[in-house]
Amino acid sequence: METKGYKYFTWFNNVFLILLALACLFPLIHVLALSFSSSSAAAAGEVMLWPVEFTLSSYEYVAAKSEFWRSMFVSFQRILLGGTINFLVTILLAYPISREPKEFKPRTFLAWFLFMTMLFNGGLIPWYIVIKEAGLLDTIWALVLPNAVPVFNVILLINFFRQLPKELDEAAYVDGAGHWTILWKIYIPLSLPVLATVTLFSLVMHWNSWFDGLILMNKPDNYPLQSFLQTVIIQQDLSMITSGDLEGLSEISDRTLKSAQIFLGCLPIFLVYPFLQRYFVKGIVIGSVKG
Amino acid sequence: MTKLTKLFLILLFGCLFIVITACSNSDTTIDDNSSSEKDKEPFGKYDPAIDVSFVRSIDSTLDLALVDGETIEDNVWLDYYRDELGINVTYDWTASAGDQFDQKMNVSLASGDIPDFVSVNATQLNQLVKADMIMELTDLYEDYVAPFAKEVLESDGSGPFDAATIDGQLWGLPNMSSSIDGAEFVWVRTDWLEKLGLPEPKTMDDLLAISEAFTTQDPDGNGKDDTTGLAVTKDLWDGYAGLKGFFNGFHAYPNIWIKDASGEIVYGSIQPEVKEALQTLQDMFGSGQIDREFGVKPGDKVAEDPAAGRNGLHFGQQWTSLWPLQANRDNDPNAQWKAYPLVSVDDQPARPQITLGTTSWWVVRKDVEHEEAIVKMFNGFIEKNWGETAEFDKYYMPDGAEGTWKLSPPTPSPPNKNLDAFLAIREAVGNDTTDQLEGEAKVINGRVSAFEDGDDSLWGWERIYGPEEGVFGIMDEYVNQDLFMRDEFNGAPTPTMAEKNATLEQLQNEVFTKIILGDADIDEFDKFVEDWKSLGGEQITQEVNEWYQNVN
Repeated sequence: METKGYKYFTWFNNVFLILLALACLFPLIHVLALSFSSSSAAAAGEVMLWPVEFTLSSYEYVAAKSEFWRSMFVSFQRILLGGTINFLVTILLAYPISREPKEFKPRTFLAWFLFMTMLFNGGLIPWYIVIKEAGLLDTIWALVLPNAVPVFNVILLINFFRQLPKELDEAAYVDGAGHWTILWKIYIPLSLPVLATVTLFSLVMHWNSWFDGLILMNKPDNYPLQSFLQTVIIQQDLSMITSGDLEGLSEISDRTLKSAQIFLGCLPIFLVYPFLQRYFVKGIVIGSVKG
Repeated sequence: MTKLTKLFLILLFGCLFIVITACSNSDTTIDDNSSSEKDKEPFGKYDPAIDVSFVRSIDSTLDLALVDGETIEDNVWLDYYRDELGINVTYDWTASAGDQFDQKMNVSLASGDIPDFVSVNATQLNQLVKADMIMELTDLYEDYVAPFAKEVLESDGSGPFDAATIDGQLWGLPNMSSSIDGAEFVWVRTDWLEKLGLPEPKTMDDLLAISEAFTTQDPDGNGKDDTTGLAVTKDLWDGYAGLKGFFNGFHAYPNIWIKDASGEIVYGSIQPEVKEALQTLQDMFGSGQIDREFGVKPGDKVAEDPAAGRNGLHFGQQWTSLWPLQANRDNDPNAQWKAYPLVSVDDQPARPQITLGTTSWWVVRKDVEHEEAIVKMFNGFIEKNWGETAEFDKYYMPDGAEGTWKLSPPTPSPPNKNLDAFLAIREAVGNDTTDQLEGEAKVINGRVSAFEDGDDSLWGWERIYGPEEGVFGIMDEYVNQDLFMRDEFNGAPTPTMAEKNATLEQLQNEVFTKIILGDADIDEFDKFVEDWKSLGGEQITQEVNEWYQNVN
């Protein structure tokens, strides 16, 4: 029986969550509306949630803009390479570390080693110099190799592996399975929800980073999408404008163009969510161990 | 994300310091006596050609500069340097202008990985000298500079060189840019003036009356109380809708160093005249003449008001008719704006304050073999754009392109070039000889005539360069009457300045904003003056005076 108080609570809770969701959606819809509006309406601040003087001209402009598509391609390359590397490295690290120390001696050392890198890092300049001396500057590898080990994801996966019933791999062992078989045939199929989560983390990380692209790429041709977008949307400092920039002034107000590019830049990562959704299934191991 | 960026910057500067101190140990002093064998010809060609490395910033306007399949690495300027001077320009890296370029540059400097020639700001120049990474240029400059280039480079006073001079030695060549173009004007929407029957602004009282009328008398005639008097941005000192021009009307000169009656250098922001100006602003805000929300609106947000016909008065530099006022004209073809000279609160003329227009200097890495190449490139750039053998249509602005001059790595330009273009146009229109105009003046005059022939999208250009009402006509008056109040301090930031200035500036802007908003009493200004002095201002003033004694 639901009490009155509980009813009120649910009601308020729902209203609060709906408002929160709207607050998150609002900027996105605003950007979308801007991207379909005429630039003079946008400059006069008339656009809120619905396009004013509907036009597709921003999208036509972006469609013809080769830099945008080139950086989009770099980003896809990065996600594909980086995501795959992250995925493999995470699994191959998490499995041995999730075993007992008597099974795998360096386990404790390795775990601490990884953990330390989360707390301390060498700083920007050493990071830059290492990558430069490794000859990675200006290549796609500079964007994927320094991030190859997502420590946080590894720790998540270790903890997930450790709470899987020990009896499962004992049974498999008795049936003659080695570590590889146990990992690929038992652990991974059982870990789909957490694997989907860490994959999502690493994809979003790769998609969203812009700073490394900026510092490590010597030519804007090699920028990933977010580094490119940063160059597009950063606001010009009006106190620093010189007479030489007169021609550039007309570019400041092209907010509709910026919006179109931002929206297109978000689109691919939105589309990933529904595809990973189906892996978020709970209770897969319930009933696997009897007695 | 900004937090992250800040963190990176803090890390960066920490590391910068360590690396620079570490680098200074690896002393590679090459005593180069071979320069006596070198030619000393200002335009001497290298045979065989030499390779020199640069880095460069790029922005979207560069696309307009390129014609017929040219690229950043292969264009008319680099061809010139290669074919005429025997200098092969290569780029170590390119990045977008602004924040991105600065960050990448700082990483490069900190890791000691700089190109042969690089353009830096005064602070970076100072750091590079301390780290012993760059070369002293005093003799090199005198030996190789061409006469005309020398004339141009030294036409803005000694300021551009003072800033790059440390202990009497020159360490960087100024990438000359205009100082006077930073002067401010009063921009007024004149169709509103006519509608309300108001006189043009001649005094501060006129201006205040206009501001009040634009607020209360519904100048746009839509029956709604939606207009503001004076447009102001949250940053207070922007080139559009800043307040410098307003303060100058009260003979106050915020943010710059001025000479007081006794010949001492003092800081403009703490002088008593500032208080008067702030008081007036507070009153204007109180009576609704300044946007209630100005404290949170950056320039591009404030710009929506004139564009939508909700504002008709601001202080700004010569370009504001191109942005944002052109948007107003696009939306409303009846809108008309005009610039007026700064107005004064008493019978003394208002003096527009300006700072040094040159903000970057070219420095030479220590172990570069042909260090004089940069001076030759300076010579070539100035000669081909403004000299006797200038080929404007090829190098500055060819047909169908714009800003082609930007493709050259160094871009020193005559400080009064825009004013000179205006004067040439005005004279030619007066004598009916516009067909004889050359170079930039010809192109600009083409735009002005196109506007007169009905192309409203070029309205902004006519407002700047039009022979009748163009803003440069007022600039010419400023120059003739020698009205400019120049920043007396042009050096690299002094030690205390480097450490404290950011804090002091923030303090100043916060206090000023609070006073204007009425959140703080006007007497808060006196407290600010005390705070400013005790928080390092006194020390900075002393250092600035010492610097001033040294250069003069």
